[in-house]
Amino acid sequence: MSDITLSDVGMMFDIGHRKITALRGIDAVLPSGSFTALIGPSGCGKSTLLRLIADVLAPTSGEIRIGDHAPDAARKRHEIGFVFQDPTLLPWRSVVENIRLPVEVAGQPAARQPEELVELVGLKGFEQARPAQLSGGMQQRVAIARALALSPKVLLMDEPFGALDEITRQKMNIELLNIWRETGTTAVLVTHSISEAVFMADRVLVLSANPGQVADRIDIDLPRPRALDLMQDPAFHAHENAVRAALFSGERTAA
Amino acid sequence: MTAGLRSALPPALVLLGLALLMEAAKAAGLLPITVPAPTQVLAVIPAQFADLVYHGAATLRSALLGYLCAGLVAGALASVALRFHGAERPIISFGLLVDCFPLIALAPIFVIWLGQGMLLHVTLSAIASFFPLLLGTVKGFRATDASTRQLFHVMAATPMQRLRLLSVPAALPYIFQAMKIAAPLALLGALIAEWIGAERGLGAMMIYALFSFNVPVVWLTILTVCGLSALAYGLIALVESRVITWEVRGDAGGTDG
Ligand SMILES: Nc1ncnc2c1ncn2[C@@H]1O[C@H](COP(=O)(O)OP(=O)(O)OP(=O)(O)O)[C@@H](O)[C@H]1O
Ligand SMILES: [Mg+2]
Repeated sequence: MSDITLSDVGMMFDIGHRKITALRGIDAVLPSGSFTALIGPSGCGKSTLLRLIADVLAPTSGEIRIGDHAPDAARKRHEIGFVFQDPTLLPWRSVVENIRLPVEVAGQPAARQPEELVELVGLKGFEQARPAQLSGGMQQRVAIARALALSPKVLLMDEPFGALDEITRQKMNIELLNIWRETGTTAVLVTHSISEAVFMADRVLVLSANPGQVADRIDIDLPRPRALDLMQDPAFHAHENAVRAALFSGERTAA
Repeated sequence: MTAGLRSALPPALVLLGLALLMEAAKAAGLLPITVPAPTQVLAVIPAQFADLVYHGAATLRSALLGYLCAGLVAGALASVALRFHGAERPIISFGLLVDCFPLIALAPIFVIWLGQGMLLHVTLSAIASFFPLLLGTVKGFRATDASTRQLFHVMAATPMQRLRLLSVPAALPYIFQAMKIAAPLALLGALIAEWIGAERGLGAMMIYALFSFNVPVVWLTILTVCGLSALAYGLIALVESRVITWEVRGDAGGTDG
């Protein structure tokens, strides 16, 4: 099982002359196979939290578990897929080769064929293109496909759709939900969009800044599978309003 | 092909322009006796050709071996600097120190240690070309951004995979850049070593011609070294254009020619 358990997690950065408390007292349980959205003002520590879960950084206090183990166990078993805030593609590799990278590194058979993933993220015909030949949004979709190549147990996404237009973004959201349902991966999505958070997630963690703390947790008990017309639903708007209220109250307490 | 040709063209044009200028100056009686007209140099080629090939081959061999040795040591040291961050500054300082020693003054000392044979020529050639190769490789290994390195960490890549799949390809544009700068230096190093004492090599040919006051031959050897340098540069640029087929960001890109 790969629930993610955060117990009193804190992160302090030492930048020479002073210390920055990026995160403090984060408590949360993200059940195995659930979908969590992280939302909060810029600089509140969302990227930092994802990096902590992925074992890129170690928390300065508290503890993180993935399943029954520390995050490094999951990482070393190649069970974590990560979509960074910037696409981080290798410029000398083609689109397919970039998607195949985790497979090569892990030395495991691909859970999904790179060619299939190219199609899934709507880049058919660009298999042999180099990243420099793609737009920012296309690059980010390659990064998403790459994160899915090994069907990771934990899928961490840092504003993956920030560079996409509204229509492509909706399409990608639906695709992502399909993949998530099929694979049963535990997903965490950082987003600045309230409607995207509500549309995608089982729960939305609202963070407040300075230091980054969980201001509120809103459970989204909307039925699945979710389709676009859900966004017309009054229940959807009610959830959006709840997230918005939490976001702004967090802002007020911080000020 | 075109990229290689394009990078060989500017030095060739400069040489041609210079030659025409000198020819005119010589005809006008503006040049001293120690400077021949380019046509005088051309005139001695047939008689000197066999010698030129004989000596040129030796110089090329020494320079090539020295260049390879310098490249291997630079690559190894750069890998150490990549793996152990604290080692980078001492390694660069070491390279700078090696580079700062005046080679001409150093050469006689090396003769005492290494004799006057090929070992000396290769060593001095390696020393002359070492620093740019080291600097280029170290700088190239650093040309990866933090999130890409974090990606490799998340993928749990081994140090070897990281080197092969990330650091080396990222460094290649910088390494080619350094190789183009270092190739003429390797030739120069071999040449200096041959001045000090050699039976074979363009440096020896040059000294011999100098002492017998055969001015056109002195210039012929100088021009041969120039030509070889330009050729080496062009060849590397050609390989570079075949290997670096992606768009290079940062200060390693777009410096051809
Ligand atoms: N490596 C680091 N060294 C020092 N401080 C850091 C580091 N990484 C993040 N921080 C600090 O931690 C805080 C949170 O940064 P983080 O990138 O997690 O914010 P974020 O919520 O992702 O913001 P955004 O929405 O703009 O991406 C910021 O104050 C930032 O300056
Ligand atoms: Mg961020």
